[in-house]
Amino acid sequence: MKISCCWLYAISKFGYPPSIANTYAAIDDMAGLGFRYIELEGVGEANLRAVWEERHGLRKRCEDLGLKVINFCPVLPDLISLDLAARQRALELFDLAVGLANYFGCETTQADSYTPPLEFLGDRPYKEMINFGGQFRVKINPDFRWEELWVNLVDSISHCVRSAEQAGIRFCLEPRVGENISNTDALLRLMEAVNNPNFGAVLDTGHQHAQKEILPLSVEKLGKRIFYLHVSDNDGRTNEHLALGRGTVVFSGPW
Amino acid sequence: MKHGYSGYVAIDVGRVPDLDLQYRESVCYLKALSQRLGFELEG
Repeated sequence: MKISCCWLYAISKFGYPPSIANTYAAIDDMAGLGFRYIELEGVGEANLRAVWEERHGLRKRCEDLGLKVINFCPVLPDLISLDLAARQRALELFDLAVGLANYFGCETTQADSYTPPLEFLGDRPYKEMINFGGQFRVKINPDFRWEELWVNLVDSISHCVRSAEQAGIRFCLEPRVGENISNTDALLRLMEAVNNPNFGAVLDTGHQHAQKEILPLSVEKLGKRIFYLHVSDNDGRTNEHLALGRGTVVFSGPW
Repeated sequence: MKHGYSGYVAIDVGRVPDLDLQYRESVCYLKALSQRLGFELEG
């Protein structure tokens, strides 16, 4: 296995999303910590396009520092929008992200399943960046149909998996607390519906421990469909992302 | 290891006041774990 550094480092240090200037600063700091492998993100259309425009400089900085970008994650909540035009635009942006992943020589590209289109009364999960431990209340619109959202999700993720596959890149999705796919079994259901072996899991110990999952069982369920590991620790009650050893995750389990 | 995972293990720590310290801690933790469990770790 190889140790890499998540983009959560950059957004925790420089904000969400980091400006391009701070993207360079984050890359410098990751190298300063001794990492050789890192992630990169494009958050929404403006930031994703800014990263695209700056791709040559960013890759050169990585090369100069001996860093390799191994995973590119576009953050595009409209991938699951019920507005067809918005969803189509997000799918086109995802294809741009695949181009970036390919340019950087990434092995994987990643997506989330995003927050369901419910009316949040108060705080909304991931409105800006991860807000660990939040409690959320929702109001269900009478017109909301989970089945319609599920079909959208399957269709969008199928597109993403194929787009990555055509570029020779593996696609992975991370179940996260509060999102449409929040646990291992939901991810397995989505994998079954998409039915493409180029679709794998990001096993995130922080989110899944907070989701009250038995991590070694998640590993058994996913097996070789685990394409990527995100590791952090917490107490199993809130989805904090603390240093390994500061919580109650049993790290001898996931591998 | 049972399933032959040999990919990347990404440290995903964030929203902590001592960010760099916790990243360094996590790298040390992983290296110690790899020695204890006998899996190879690079980086």
